[in-house]
Amino acid sequence: MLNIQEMSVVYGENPEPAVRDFCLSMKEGEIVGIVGESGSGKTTVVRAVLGCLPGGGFISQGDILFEGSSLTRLDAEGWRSIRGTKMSMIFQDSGATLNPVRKIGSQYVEYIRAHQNMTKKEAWKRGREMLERMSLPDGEHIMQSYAFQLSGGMRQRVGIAMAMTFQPRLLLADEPTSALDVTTQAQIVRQMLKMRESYGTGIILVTHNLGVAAYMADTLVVMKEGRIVDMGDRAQILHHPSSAYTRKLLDSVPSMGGERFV
Amino acid sequence: MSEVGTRILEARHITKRYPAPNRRTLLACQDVSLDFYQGKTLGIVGESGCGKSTLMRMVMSLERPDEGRLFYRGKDITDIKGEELRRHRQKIQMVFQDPAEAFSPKMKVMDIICEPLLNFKRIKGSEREETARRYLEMVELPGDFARRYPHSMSGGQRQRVGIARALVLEPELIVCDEATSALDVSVQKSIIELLVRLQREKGIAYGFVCHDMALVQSLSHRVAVMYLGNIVEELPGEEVAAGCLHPYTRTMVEAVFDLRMDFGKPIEPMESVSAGQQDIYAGCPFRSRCPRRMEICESRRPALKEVASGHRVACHLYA
Repeated sequence: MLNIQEMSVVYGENPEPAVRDFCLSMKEGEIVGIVGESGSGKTTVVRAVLGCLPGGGFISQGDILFEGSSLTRLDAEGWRSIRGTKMSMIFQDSGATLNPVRKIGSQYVEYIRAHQNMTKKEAWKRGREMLERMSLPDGEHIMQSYAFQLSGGMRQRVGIAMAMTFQPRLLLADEPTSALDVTTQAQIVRQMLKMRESYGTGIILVTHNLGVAAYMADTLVVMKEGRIVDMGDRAQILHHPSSAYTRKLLDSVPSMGGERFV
Repeated sequence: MSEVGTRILEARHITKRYPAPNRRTLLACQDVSLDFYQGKTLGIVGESGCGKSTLMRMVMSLERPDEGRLFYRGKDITDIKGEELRRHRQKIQMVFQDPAEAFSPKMKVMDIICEPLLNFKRIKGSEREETARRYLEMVELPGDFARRYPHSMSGGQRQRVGIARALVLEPELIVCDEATSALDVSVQKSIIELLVRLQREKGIAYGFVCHDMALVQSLSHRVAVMYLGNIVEELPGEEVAAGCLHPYTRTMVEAVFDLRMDFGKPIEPMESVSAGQQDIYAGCPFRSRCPRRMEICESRRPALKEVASGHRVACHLYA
């Protein structure tokens, strides 16, 4: 479904690429977890896939194929037909992507109607149903609320609901649980796995939390300084990592009843 | 209690209320009693809005409790003020979450580290660089960093400077409020190792506030779990994984994603409530989310009871 071929990304005049020779091949419904520390280039990868690299970033080399066709040569119209419907994204704080002075419902209806011909009433109903499918108790109430009236976990669920409205083939998730409490984090992880089960959506999950990545992902990619240092399935990465860096990273994760410092 | 060692600070029945919208009251801390011992770490863990930071602000004498007393080495410090409070502040220092925000960007590292010493006239201005170098080496940074500015350092290096600044007054208690939460895991580990080494050498007591259960239990001698302003369980760090009893602690432990977990384990659905806002009520604070609630939980708040040596639980299941 998605095929990234030796992609390098450069920001502005900086000759040093932020991501170098990134290769990834992804099947339908597969979950790929990209882990690494800050500055390793993991966010740059998903941004490049969605075609929204910030601050003068561009793909200097390589290609991204999505369902067989190249994304690097798409024009604005081409992107419009993909983003939000075939490919969508959830961010660390979905609340911050919502307009603070408009109710959730009005934004949701606008989003749906931007991609599909539908009356406002139908769009409202569709939005409410999606919210309820996301284990949010009262969809109508959420549609009538402003973003600030919801808790972090609820806002994240709204973000996932919006991203999943058109049952995209690919969901890009950039640190979707990092701003949440642990019990809420577990619920969001559960929700994302359920989405994959019901719609067969492939997910690229970017996170610094190795535990979450290991739980969710079929394939793990470890990045450091813009390069892939390790890639493989969970068992291989956790038990037989090929690079010393991965071992160090794994060794640093605190675990329940594991190594004690005192 | 099995603990041996000098008690540095005691909190007894601390309650703190804040006014909330619609004439409601937010109970940030309710009847909290805790002890900090020399050379030991007390980990305080809970979700956002559970009152853990408020509690630490009272320990630091930055806020005054509405009810209850605080004792420092047996002396009541709840109401001290003025010069006495200023003198007292030397004994308890703090390391903050975000090392980038904790320093003035216009001050050199040596001025940052030595400012507390100059405030208390412990050193002369001319001794700054030499003192800063000594403390930088103590936190495993090159002495040359004394002339740098904080912006030219990485997050982990800045956090080491934060620790050095907390150390200079030779405090007996250091409060670390999410001190490693903003750092990458490998950096986090090196900071923890540093804190533990300093504790062994100097016998400092730590109050380690954190939301990461796995981290807290790995470095704390004792762990206190807070939920909506209440301590629901207090137990030795090494017993958290296998021996915790309170349903909330169990929920927290099960919600940890770590690399030794069973990856096939399904995640149990759980209702989430918005934490924080609450009226003064009678029942158990956790009752609305508790998988094992009983009738009595609606009407009576469970008291903390000792169930084993050094293990206290506030739950009707173990009353």
